[in-house]
Amino acid sequence: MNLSRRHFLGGLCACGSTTLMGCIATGDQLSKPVTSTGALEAEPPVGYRPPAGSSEASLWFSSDRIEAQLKRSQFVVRDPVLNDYVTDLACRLGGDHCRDMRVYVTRQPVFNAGMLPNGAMTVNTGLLLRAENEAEVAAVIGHEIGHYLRRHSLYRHQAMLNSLGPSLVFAVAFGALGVPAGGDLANLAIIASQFAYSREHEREADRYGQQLMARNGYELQAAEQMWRHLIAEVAAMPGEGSRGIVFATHPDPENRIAELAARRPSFAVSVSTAGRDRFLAATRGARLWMVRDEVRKRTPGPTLVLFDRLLRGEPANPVLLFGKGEVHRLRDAEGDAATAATAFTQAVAAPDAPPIAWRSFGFLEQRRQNYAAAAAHFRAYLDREQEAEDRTLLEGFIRNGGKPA
Amino acid sequence: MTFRPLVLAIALLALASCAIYTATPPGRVKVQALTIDAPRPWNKWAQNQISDTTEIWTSEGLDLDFLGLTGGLADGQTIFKARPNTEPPRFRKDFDFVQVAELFEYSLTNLTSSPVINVSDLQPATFAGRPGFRFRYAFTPRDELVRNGIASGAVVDGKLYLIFFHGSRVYHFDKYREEVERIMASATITP
Repeated sequence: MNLSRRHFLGGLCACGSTTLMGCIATGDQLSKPVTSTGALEAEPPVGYRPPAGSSEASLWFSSDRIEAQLKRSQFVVRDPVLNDYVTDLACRLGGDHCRDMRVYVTRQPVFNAGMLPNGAMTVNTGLLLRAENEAEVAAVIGHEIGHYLRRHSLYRHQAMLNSLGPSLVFAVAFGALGVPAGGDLANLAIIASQFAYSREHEREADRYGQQLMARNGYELQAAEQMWRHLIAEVAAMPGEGSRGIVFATHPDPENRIAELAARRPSFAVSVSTAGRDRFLAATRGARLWMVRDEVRKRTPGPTLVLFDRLLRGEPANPVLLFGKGEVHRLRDAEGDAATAATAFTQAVAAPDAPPIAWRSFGFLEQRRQNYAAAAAHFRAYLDREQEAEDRTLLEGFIRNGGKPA
Repeated sequence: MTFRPLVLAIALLALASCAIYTATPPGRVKVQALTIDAPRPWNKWAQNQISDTTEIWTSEGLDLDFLGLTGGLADGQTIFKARPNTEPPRFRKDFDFVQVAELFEYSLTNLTSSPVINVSDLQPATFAGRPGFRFRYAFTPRDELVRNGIASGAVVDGKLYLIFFHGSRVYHFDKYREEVERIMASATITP
């Protein structure tokens, strides 16, 4: 999915997929607030399956089919470290409902997460790249679990059934999840955003998220912080087209932050943690390809906002420095080459620098006609990357003193 | 009734995805300043909605096999049209072939939104009798049908001439590869 403002912020309410969420709950049940002192109300029982023949059962059937596609999808990340980490986090937040949830980490460099009514959850790698700590990821996953436990999608499902018919509901759900189905449903993702949760449901999911974070001892400010990060990225996006649509269907982000902050004191947290070290350890192995996926989107404005923010917390991180250098190298506007050179210089100085940083540095220096430096960087890359696909090309450059052949 | 505009939008989307083709004449075919030899007719996408600079041909359908012919991309132009709210990479007349390969990779990313694209085996090669390049590529778009591709081209007098072809890895790429290689080898440039 492309990183338009609509999709980007649409992801903030996450959940995009779930026209499918549904149950027989009444409006009264769903309007009950979360208590500030303890138990969450009106949760479905653990191990719940809808009664056969109910409209909810058909919804679950559709969800099961989507999940079957997910299981086979090439975009689902198979990295066991990442999967175990996110699954464990969702499980702790979900408590007894852990056994009802399955987590799929999806390779999409866009901030998003979603949950189907049958308990299948998707977490985009774009979310994991943007988070600075575990608490921020917990805020989003907790929000999603809130939608799930309150079965918010019932309203959307019923509204769409009344208006469009079940086949289209199914199609929209596919598109919104980003899951390819039996046809090109990608365009329907755009339409799906028209069926976002109501503002009240978003607020309720926010409250649930905070409650689940508090139960697990996470710093509650992380939810607000995640929003601030994303607002900053959106502000750096070109164009103004989608901003109005997003704000028409979701609580205004600034108001949302204010509401989260105002509610925060009502949740008693004796000891809180951001879980930063745990988060960084779990995502370290995937960071390089997630950064490369982000760079490949070619949205230099928001991507540099992202990398610069992450670098403030990890100023010597060679993967992030490589990413920053690569964005500047590829944009190649005035001043970019010098900024890229600085970032690459810092990146390759790190003992755990990714080999590809030397390759990019070599291309940069070749472009700047610093041929001797280019040759040295290509050599350094090839020495470190035995499986380099472009070895023949780069060895040709080296033989040519760093000049293009 | 509330959703009538939505239903209309969906219908328009469906219509927009329809492709209308015209048969190319067999033999020498000129695409702007690029001339190639295609002994049998191909299906030219007559209502090309994704590029103003590149002709797109297919044998069995664009989702299965896709031949792109760029007959002289000028400074500042893009291979494909921009997607909303994005800045597609633009060709610059002083690009070397490494930069052309990067331009192509990111153009395809912008077009397909695929997070999984790989350009490989980039090497200098003669194209239309001039110093040029060739490379292979592969990508997985949202339909999850993996495509393999090859490309060959040259920058001549500040303009990019490029022929690229991709097809499904499971069948169509291999089926048409030799024919496309012959088309690439037949290219001439008359700027």
